[in-house]
This record gives sequence, C-alpha cells and structure tokens, in this order.
Amino acid sequence: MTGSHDRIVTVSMVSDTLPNVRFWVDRTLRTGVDHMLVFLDDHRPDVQAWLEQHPMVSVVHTDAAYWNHDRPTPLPDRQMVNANLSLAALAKVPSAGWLFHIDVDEALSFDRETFLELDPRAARFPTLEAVAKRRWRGGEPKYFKKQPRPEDLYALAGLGAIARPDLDAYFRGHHLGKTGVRPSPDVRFRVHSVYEHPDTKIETIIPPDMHLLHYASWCLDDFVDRWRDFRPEDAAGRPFRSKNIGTAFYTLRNHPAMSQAQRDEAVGELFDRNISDDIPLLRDFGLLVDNPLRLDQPARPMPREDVALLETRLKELLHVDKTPYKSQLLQVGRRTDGSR
Amino acid sequence: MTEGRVVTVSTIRDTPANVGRFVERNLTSGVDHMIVFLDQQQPAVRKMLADNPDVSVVSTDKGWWRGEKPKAVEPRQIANANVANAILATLPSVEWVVHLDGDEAMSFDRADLAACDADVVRIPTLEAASQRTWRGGRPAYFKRLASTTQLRAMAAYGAIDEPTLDAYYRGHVAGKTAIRPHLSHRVGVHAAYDEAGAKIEPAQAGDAQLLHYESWCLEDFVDRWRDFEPRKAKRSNHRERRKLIGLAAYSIANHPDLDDKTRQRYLEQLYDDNVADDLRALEWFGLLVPSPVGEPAAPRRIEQPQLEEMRALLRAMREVGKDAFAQEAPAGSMAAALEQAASALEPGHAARVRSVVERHRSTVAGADA
Amino acid sequence: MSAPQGQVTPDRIVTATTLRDTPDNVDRFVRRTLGSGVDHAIVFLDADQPKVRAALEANPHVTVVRTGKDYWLGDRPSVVLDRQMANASVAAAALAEVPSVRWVFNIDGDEVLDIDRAALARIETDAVRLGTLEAVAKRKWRRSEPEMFKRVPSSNELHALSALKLIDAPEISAFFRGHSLGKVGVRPGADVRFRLHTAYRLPEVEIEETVQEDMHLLHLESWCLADFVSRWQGYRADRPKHRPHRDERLGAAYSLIDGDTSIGAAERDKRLGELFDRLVADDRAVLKRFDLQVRVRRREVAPRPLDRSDVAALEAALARIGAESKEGYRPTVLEAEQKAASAV
Repeated sequence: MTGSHDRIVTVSMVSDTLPNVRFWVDRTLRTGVDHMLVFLDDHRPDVQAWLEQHPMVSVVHTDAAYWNHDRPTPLPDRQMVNANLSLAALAKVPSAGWLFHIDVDEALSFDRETFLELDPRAARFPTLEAVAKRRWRGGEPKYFKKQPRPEDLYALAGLGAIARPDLDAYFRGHHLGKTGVRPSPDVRFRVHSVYEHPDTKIETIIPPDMHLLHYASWCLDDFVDRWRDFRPEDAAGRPFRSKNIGTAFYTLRNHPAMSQAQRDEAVGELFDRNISDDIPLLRDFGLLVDNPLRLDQPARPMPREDVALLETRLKELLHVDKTPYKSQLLQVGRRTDGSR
Repeated sequence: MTEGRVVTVSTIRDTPANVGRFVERNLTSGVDHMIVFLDQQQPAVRKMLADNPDVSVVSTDKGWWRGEKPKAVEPRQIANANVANAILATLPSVEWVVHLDGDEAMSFDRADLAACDADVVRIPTLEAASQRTWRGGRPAYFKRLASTTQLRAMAAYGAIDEPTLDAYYRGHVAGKTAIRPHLSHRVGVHAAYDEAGAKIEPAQAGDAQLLHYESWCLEDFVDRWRDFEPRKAKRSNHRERRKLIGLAAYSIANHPDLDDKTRQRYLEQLYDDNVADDLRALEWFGLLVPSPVGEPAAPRRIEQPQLEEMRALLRAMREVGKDAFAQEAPAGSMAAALEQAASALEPGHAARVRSVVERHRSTVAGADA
Repeated sequence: MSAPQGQVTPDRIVTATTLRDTPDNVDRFVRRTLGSGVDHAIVFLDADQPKVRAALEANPHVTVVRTGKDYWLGDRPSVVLDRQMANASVAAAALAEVPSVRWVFNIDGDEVLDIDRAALARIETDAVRLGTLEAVAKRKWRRSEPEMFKRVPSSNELHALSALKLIDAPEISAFFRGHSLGKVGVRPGADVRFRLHTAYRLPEVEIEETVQEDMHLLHLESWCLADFVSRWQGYRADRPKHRPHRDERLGAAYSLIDGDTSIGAAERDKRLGELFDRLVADDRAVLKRFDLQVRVRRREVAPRPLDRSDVAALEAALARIGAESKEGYRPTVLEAEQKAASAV
C-alpha cells in the first residue's frame, strides 16, 4: 500500500473540561504529533463540538451504544479497547505512521525527524515525571525527574525522601513509559507495551532522548483539578494512598469551620506533605533534567481524504462487538519487553 | 594453672586504622595474644600485624583454603576459629580462646576467668552508644541489653521505632563465649559445641562483657557500610532495616553526583536520623552504662619457644584441608587434621603435638568404653 | 403495709462503677458523679480499702459493695474489665427491685456523664447511647475541672489529619488516648447484662437504643499533668495486663522514671512533665484549626435522694446477688469485644 506512513498519531480517552481539553490539544499538536484521536468517556457536548470541528482531531463519543451496553468498569480496560480499535481504524490510512496512546496529563517529548529516520516498528518512550512544586513560573514545570538508579532509591529512602526504595514510591504515577507502534489490525496495546494478537512479542526499540512526559499533579492547581471530583463514598477498593489523599482533599476543601483562605491553605499543605518534590535533594543526586518538551514541531496535517477515510472507518467500528479489541493480560511468567 | 593466657581469634577484613584500633582495644583489656586471619589480601594490614609480637597473623589466600574456599564468610570464620582452637589445645599456657569479630573487644577481669572451672564462659554483649563524635576518640557510654519494659519506654519516648531488641541494638544480642581450647570443643560464632554437635552451656564468670563497637561514631558507621554493595546485600543476613540503612550509606558514600561537602551532609543526616543514639532517653530508662574500659593491662606475652611453635603450627596448617574444622565436620576430624599438620613440624614439637592428639583419643575412647 | 400509692414513674439515674483508687481520687469521682445529674452511685470496691469504704459508706447517695472472697466465691475474673462488666450487670439486676430508678449507667472512675435529666426522662426506649468526648490534655488549666473536650472525628476528618501528617494513621486510636465507642444507659432489669460499650437482655437479645447526640460520656483521664500522674502512679509495668500497646509503652516509660531512685523529686517531676508533653498533651492549635474540640460547661446539679425504702431494697438485692455465683453476670462473647478494646 503506497502512502507516506509518516504521521504521528495519538489516541486518548478524555473526560475533562473544554478549557483543559483545548489547551491540551493545541499543545499536543505542537510537540510533533500530527493527528489526534479522542474518545470521550462521558457526555460533554461542548467538548465534543469543539473537537468535531478541529481538522486535526477525530472524536468518538463512547456512549452506552458504543459499548453495546456492556461498558467495562476499569478505566484502563476502556482505554485499551479504544486504543486497539484505533489501530484497526488507522491500519489502512496511507499517511498514518505510528500510534501512541497517551493521557491528558501526558506529552511526547521527541525529535520527529530523528524518529522518522529510525523508522522502528515499535518504540517505547520511557517516563519522565514532572517535578511537583506549588507554583512554577511560566506555566510549565522547569524540571522533570529521571529514572533513578537503585543507588538513588536506597539513598532517597534512607534519607526519608521516599517511603521505600522502589520506583512506585519515587514516581507519583507509572514509570514504564508508553510504546508507539505502526498501526495494523493484528497489533494490540497493553498499558506500556504492544504485542501481536494473540500473544507474540513485537521488537521494540528505546530511542535515546525520547520520553513520555507525565505531568500528574505537577503544581497545586493541577493537583486541585485532579482531585476536584473525588468523593469519599466512591473510594472503596482504591489503594490506600489515593483514598487517603482524596478523602483528605475533599474534607479540607469543604471544611465547615474554615474560611475559603484557610481551606486553600490546608489544601496547599496537603500538596506540600504528599506531592511536592524535594528539588535540592533531587538535584544533588543528579535526578533532575530540564524540561525537554519541544513546542516547535507543528502538526503536519493528514491529507483530507485520509482523515475522511479514518473517520469512516471509525464510524464502521462504532458499534461492533468490542471483545476482540480487549487487551490480553500478560501470561504469568511470560513478560514482554517493557510490560509490568 | 595460674597465668592461663587468654587468646582471641578473628577473621577480619578492615582498614589499617580500624584494625589498629581493634588490636589496641583487645591487647589492653587483659587479652594476651591475638590470632588474626586476614580474609582478604591486605599487605599494609598484614605488615602492621606481623610487626606486633602479641599478634599472629595468617593470610587466608587461595592456598590456605586449598581450592575449597567457603562462599559465605561465616563458615570461613568458624573454620579459622577451630584451627586456632586445635592449635591452642597444644599450648599448656593458654587457657581460653575467644572468637571475636573485628569490631568487638573483650572487657573482663583476669582473676574472674582464672577462678572459673567451667569449659565455656558466657560473655554477654554491651553495645557502644553511638554519637557523631566522642571526645577522646572512644565512646564514653555503652548500652546495656534492654528488658521488655525498657524497650517499651524507649518506643514510647520515640527513641526507637519498635519496642524490640532488633530496633534497639544494631548488632547481635547473643553475645560470645570464652572457651577452653580442646580438641573435643567446636567453636561456633557465638557458642561452643561438643563433638556430637550439642551446645555446651556457658557459665558466668564475673562481669565479663563483649564490647561491640560497630558504628560507635559517624566515621565508623560510614566505614562499615562503604563497601556494602547491593550484590553483597542480597547475600547478607543482616536484618532488613539495617540492610536498607547500610545500602543507603553505601549509595551516598559512593554516589558519583555528590561533591564531598554534600556527601558529608547527607551521610550526617542519614546517621542522625537512623543510627545516633538518644543518650538522654537511654539515661532516663536505665540503659546507659559508662564505658567499662579501665586501666590498660599489659599482655602476658607467650614465651618462646611456645610462641614460635604456635606460629609454626599455623603455617603447617596451610597443607591441611579446612573442612576438618567446619561446624559439621565429624568427630575426630580436628584431631586427625592436627596430626597431619604435625608431620610438617620439627621432631620435638611434632612429638608434643602427637601426644596431645593421643591423650585426646584415649580420653574419648575411655568415655566411649 | 398499705397498698402502694399509684404507679411510681421511675426517674432516678444511678451509676455503677468498679473502683480501686486513692481516697482523694474516689472523693473527686463521687463529687463529680453526684453533681452531674446522677442521683445515686453504686461503687464496687475492687480492693480492700477500709478508708475509702468508710468515706463512701458515710455518703447517703452512695451504696458500697465489697467484692472480696465472699462476693466472687472463688471465681474472680482475672481481667479488671470483666469484673467491671460483671459488677455493672449485678447493679442492673439489683436495681430492678428499686421502682424509682429509670436509668443505670456503667461508668469508670475517670468518667463523668454529661446528661440532661429532663431529656433522659422523655426517652421512650429502654436504652440510651451517649457518645464519648475526651478531655483535651494540657499541663495546667485555669479551672479545676476539665471543660474542653475532643469530639470523635469522622473517618473523613481522620484521613485529612493523617494526610497532613498531624496524626500517624487515619484511625481514632491515633487521635484519642482512650476509647471512643461511647457508653449506654439502660432501664434496670433482672435479665439486663452489660458489655463494655453495650447492654443486652439474656440470653442475647438486643435492647432498642436511642442515640442521644447532645449528651455525652466524658472521659477525663490525663486532662492535666496532675491527673496524668495520679492515673499512672501505681502502674506496674511487669504485671501482665490486657492493655492497648500505647498504654503499655506509656506505662513503661512512666514507671521507669517514677521508680528511678538515682534522681531527686525535682528531676523526676521534670521528666514526667516532659513525658506528658511528648506523649499526652494535645496540640490545641490543631484542635482549634480543625474544629475538633467542644466546650462542656457542666452545671452542678444536686442528687435527688432515693427513698429510704428504695435504698433498703437496693442493699437487700445487692446482698442477695452478692452472695450468689456471678457466673450468670459475667460477660459473654468477651474475646471479640476485648480485641476491639485492645485495638483502640
């Protein structure tokens, strides 16, 4: 099949306000991404309308009909189905090059030209996590946290900066990164890796200097955004840390005995005690890297007929049975590269 | 038998400064001679020890182990200690052998040991209280073993995390033993056993104590963990909490990104938060003991020709397989090994060694009859 | 005797308490109790204390029960909690024969009721549940009785406090020194039995409760340094006890300092004061910031005396049950509740 096969495409599942979504879409399309697939996880007509008119975005509203009235409860399961469906939709689109699935609090940091030259079948971008601070001047975190070495973890744990010497205590979120892959109907995503259905490894390179930037609560405002809708009643079954922070947030934000200023300060303290990173410490141990985000790689729009083809394919797949698009869990004892 | 000498045996690997301190502490405590097995090639340490007339040093290289070096350090310590035990069994002027680590020192009264009839004497541990620095370069206080009530009080106060000995003492609480050198005695790390493998119950002899110095000050703490690579950590049998602190110390001490000043600052912080003892709390709860180190006692030197004979026998042991001296070695193997070593000695000495072996065998046979 | 003059509407409030304490402390307990709206106090003496007994016997609003060999009849529960509950159940049964008594509460020597007689009289169910308030601990207060109390925070509030690292865990035991489960008052009955925080009818029948939000069980223990000292003074760290870990540790620290013969009284007091500051004193700024404290101004209310015939009936019933086996009064399903109590 002829075609340029060189457009970088992302797929995301989104449930956020219009201002946030606009900011994120505009920014993503400056980082080297050429086209975005957005699956709306809930009913937001204003967001949907804006996305629908955007030439470099294709949007799907995943309502009950999309799920054939059998919507998977875990969020990652829905994300994977949407991402795998997108692989099928993009497979025959001539200009489609690679597909990454990313979240609203993530960005790809890479040099597009170099990536295109490498021309891999699949590539994993490891995580850099934003250093958390109450306020960063300029609206972007100045630093990101590198992957630590084991010695770093021991030192940080010994000094009380992290609770245990492991990656989960060091990173607020996941740390394995994300894998981008050439779209094909046989390929499936897992959270951090890709495989060929039913369970074959796909050779995946890890290009140098290319990362998945994870922002997650990088500043107080983002922290507040993230926890704003949390309800303690819905916390049952969540891991302790989420339940604890979420419940604390909810309680302090609505505390009957405090003024608004006192509530805000209490939430700020919650952020300080649980999220803020110790910047001088990280710097001393060589764990900081300057924010590598490139905003000078504008989107190269797909040809109009390719966008039309893509959106037609998406329409065709809208109400199919989603079962074949679920991700297979890793077999115990057989781990593909980069997967947990 | 008056003038019964007290000899220590140790298998060590440490800096020259630390080894120097180890020797000085023991040879001024009433100990008369020290047999030191070097677990690693350390020429500077070897020379320092060889120059000391009250120390006999053995380098345990590949030749010593004759190609069968035990992988873990504990079996090496035990084998070496039993070699010393067997050799000292042939010296009538030596009454006691104590198996020590490089960060331990004896504290005892010669008269108490001399008056004791038992074969094995208990030497309970007393751990040095840890402070960043001590005036005079030695700890002024030690921590006695805590009762349950005292542990609970320390935990209430916040001086330790849990009311357990594990959280309170850095080192072992089992203590050590002084043993009469004898071919029917097997020396372990903490205790002595008979040839059937049964532990010999130790007796009390006055206020004998084992002073444990590990991490008595910041510098010693750093020294101790500086080489504790993660690979080693996996094999070690330290308790989990100590392992993590040790790994943190190792990581900070060797971290490529830290400049010296910053490194020192973090080591101090790690030490202050995890190692330094709260003297006030220790005092409040009756756990603080002023250092029992008293006036130095000069070693009662082992006379010639016995000293030279002992060293000759140590050299002769190079030709003997060390599995005869392992914890699990069958009864009679030490005697056989001693006999084998004797064949390399000059005739008079050899004869004396053989007669010790004979006497032992006939005693055993008599007991079995 | 002539026929009774119409139905007696029971309204008297009685407490049952098992005590072993200094004469001063017992005196304080009695004064507090009888000024709180309680009309009569039954005191089970847990040890032979002639001086205390004499003082109590002299008080017309107190009935004393000695719980020696003749009471336990060779079957004395070894755990004090069990003895407390058995005694409270004895009281509930004995009071069934005193028609004027409407309520019996099982309280400890370091507790006092915060009740309203009129409101209690209006309650229709046979049991009432009061929540706990714990006295705020501070070295010295201006007043001679505690007035500031910590309320039981919600689970959400505990999460907030722990996420801000102000308490160690989002659990009530990280915020309260003592129990938080409240106490019940119950209409006396021969078949009524007490457990630590509940009451039931034999064999295992629930008693319908009214939860009374505006009345409380006030737990005073260690509200000031003097009370802290008084509470821990006799603690024997070596005696096996079924106490929560925190108490064991605090008791160990206290007894070692208190028993240190190498220091003088001034140094000992200084250390005990510091122990109080470190382990007991509440952070008032935190309590204020998160609105976790309440002021309880207790008005003195004189006890309404029981008729002499009622007192006589009570004494007779206590004497009769006192001479019987206590087997039927010992709490059942003990382990579960004890575990819950120890988890505090």
